[in-house]
Amino acid sequence: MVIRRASQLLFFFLFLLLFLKAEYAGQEVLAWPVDLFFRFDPLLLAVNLLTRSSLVYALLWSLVFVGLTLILGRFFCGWVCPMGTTLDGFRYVLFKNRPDQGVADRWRRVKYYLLFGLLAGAGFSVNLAGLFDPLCLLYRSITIVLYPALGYGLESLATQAYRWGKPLTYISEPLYGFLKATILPFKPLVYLMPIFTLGLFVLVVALEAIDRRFWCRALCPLGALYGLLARFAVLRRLPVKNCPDCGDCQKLCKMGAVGNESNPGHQSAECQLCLNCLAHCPNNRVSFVWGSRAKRPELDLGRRQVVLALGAGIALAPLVRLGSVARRPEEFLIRPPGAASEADFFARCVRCGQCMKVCPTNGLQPTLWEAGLDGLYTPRLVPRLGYCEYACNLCSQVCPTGAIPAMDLEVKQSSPLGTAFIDPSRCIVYTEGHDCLVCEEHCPVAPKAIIFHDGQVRDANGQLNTVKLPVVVADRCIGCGICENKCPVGGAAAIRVKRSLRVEI
Amino acid sequence: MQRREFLKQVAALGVLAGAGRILTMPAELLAMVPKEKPSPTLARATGTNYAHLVGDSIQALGGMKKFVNAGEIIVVKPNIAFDRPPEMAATTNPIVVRKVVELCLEAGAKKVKVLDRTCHDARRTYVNSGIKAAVEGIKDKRAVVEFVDERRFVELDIEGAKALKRWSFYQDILEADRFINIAIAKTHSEAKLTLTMKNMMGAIGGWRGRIHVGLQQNIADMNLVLRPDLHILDATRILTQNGPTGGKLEYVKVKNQVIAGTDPVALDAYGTTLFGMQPQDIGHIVKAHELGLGEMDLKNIKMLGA
Repeated sequence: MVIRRASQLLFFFLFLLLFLKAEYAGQEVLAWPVDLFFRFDPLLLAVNLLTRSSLVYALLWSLVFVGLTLILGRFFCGWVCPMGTTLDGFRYVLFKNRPDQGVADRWRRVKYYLLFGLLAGAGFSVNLAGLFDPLCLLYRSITIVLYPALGYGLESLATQAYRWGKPLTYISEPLYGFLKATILPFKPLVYLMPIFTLGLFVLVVALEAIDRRFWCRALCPLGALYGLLARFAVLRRLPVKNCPDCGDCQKLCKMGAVGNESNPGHQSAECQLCLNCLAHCPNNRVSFVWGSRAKRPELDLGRRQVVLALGAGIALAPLVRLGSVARRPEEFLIRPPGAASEADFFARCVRCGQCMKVCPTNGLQPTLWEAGLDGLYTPRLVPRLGYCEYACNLCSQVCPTGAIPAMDLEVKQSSPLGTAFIDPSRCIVYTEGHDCLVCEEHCPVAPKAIIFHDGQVRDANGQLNTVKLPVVVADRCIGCGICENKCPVGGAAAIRVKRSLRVEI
Repeated sequence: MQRREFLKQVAALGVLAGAGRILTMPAELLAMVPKEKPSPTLARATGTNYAHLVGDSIQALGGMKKFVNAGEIIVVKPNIAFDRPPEMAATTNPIVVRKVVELCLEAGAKKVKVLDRTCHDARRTYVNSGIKAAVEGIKDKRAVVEFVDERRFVELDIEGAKALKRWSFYQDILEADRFINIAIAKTHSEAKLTLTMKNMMGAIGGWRGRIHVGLQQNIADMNLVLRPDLHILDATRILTQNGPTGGKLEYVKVKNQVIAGTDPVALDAYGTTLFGMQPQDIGHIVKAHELGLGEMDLKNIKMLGA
């Protein structure tokens, strides 16, 4: 038990550590393999293969876990999965341990249907697996809401202490400095739709109140995939049939894997090898043995339901594409570097949120419905919140599926994300007759994509002033958005990046 | 009764803490204004050993000991605004920064803080400008490269300002015993040139884009508050085109010069000549001169050194 807990905590903290390490730390190439967990995710490999995108070799690491599952069973869920550990932790803190209500058992099949639906959809290039993949779900939740909230909370505490001044700062400032150097974000982070994201995360946690590990037993598509593999596992738990006299393990098992009246017998597909039953069996009857030929209980998913799930997944493809955005992407929907074609991008992106985490300017933001229904949580650049840093390609380094392709810096610097345009009805120079040129000053390309011509504009007093009127040279502009970010006009900037003209073919 | 007692105690503690805060609050420091009018005497050094240029120019002014006393806290403010390698001349030459810090340490400074409020991500600019490595390479605990802490900006009324009546400034700079400005000479479309006075943009807080309307006067006004004890103009390399960001080596001109002085207007007036311009071409030089910040007539500026 101690070993399992240790393993859970180890992987959980590794997950968090890799999260923190997905950050610029003085080197152009990240020192840590921050997408490690995603490389070992066979669900992502499955959709990568099904969407017929070019193969991402790093995802082949997940075959290691596929192999281990064929030997050991669904150990991932009980020993590795940071989402499972999170749920165990929340249950330990928030909910009383109580016997199963049986709800999760009744919902057990849903995760398989979800998996089949997602895979069928992936066959038609609708890649929604990331919305339900537990690693993506957890990473995304931490990125968008939990980590910024932690940062904001600690920052405001430190600021309060700082305002109080001495002697409190003798303690608070060194502590703050330490936190700043270790876990706090470099600057306060802001992401769109935090409450919605928090809501989804809370929902998954709240399901623990119904039954233990409800998410894992009833909904998790990765759990379902491992479950299907675990049916062939070499390591078996005996006895398969429940003993008639005791039934303790039935109550003990948090996965409902030991079986009940409707599903008698030990279910390899559900057992996450926590080994609690082995430790607690009062009569020492439980054992885990290699290669037993004892008959496994059926995994009865129902032919009709499976067909329905597959059909629903396939039907999803035309349905989600019916929106108008499928015909013409929203004008201000700026994608990360190299992700110009929406169709290729959608087929690959698993919405894990790593690019949003690593973006040093906090400019990569989650999409709600601006890209259509299947664009939920795909990354977009919102230049007003953060621009694309000219000499940075970190997002392409962390993307586990190549949705943001790995690109040399020179290639990235010459691949336009969009094109800036000036709104003369808002621009200070055109409206007020005073020089500004902040956009021109910051433009990072050489020669600058924003130039100026002398022109005459009347100021508020009616006086004709000779001013420097900024103009965008579209052929030079790479759409990094620093002009939009720094524009001193309040609200929407007077210079904005739009995607048409040069991004789409 | 217990609750009332508790509330009373809380109130009493609150009053005490409030009083303590007023007592310990640093007086707003306009003490930066030097007692004497800065002299329009500049010192220039020319050559290819950039560390020597710094040493020679400061020596010509009387040596660093004239500006820095033992036990003092110094803030050094180079230009670290942009994420560019040093050879692009968008940021102050790291060799120059390092030498200035070393001289401060030799003069007995208790602490030397190097900082700038950057335009690009500060983590990147500090590293890629080479300045972080250069200062940390001294391996002296008294020399630190710090990121700007957004909590430490304080708003001040600017006495005598014509346009920028109130703005926020970095507290560490206001409170430091000495403040040293190391600017790089670059072109800048709106300000025309960015020399020592424009470099003070990195010492102020707030939404800086907002003060680009009427920039020339605003630059002059902020220099009423920010009065470095020593200005150094890094003209080892200057950026002649596409400023202030640059981005191509062909925009960079190697000048092999370092100029030091206490009068920023005089220094900037000389700086214009590096670009073949005249002091009166640059709005903020004229406006700073009008505010009495220094001498802009090249004839009245005395140049020491080679």
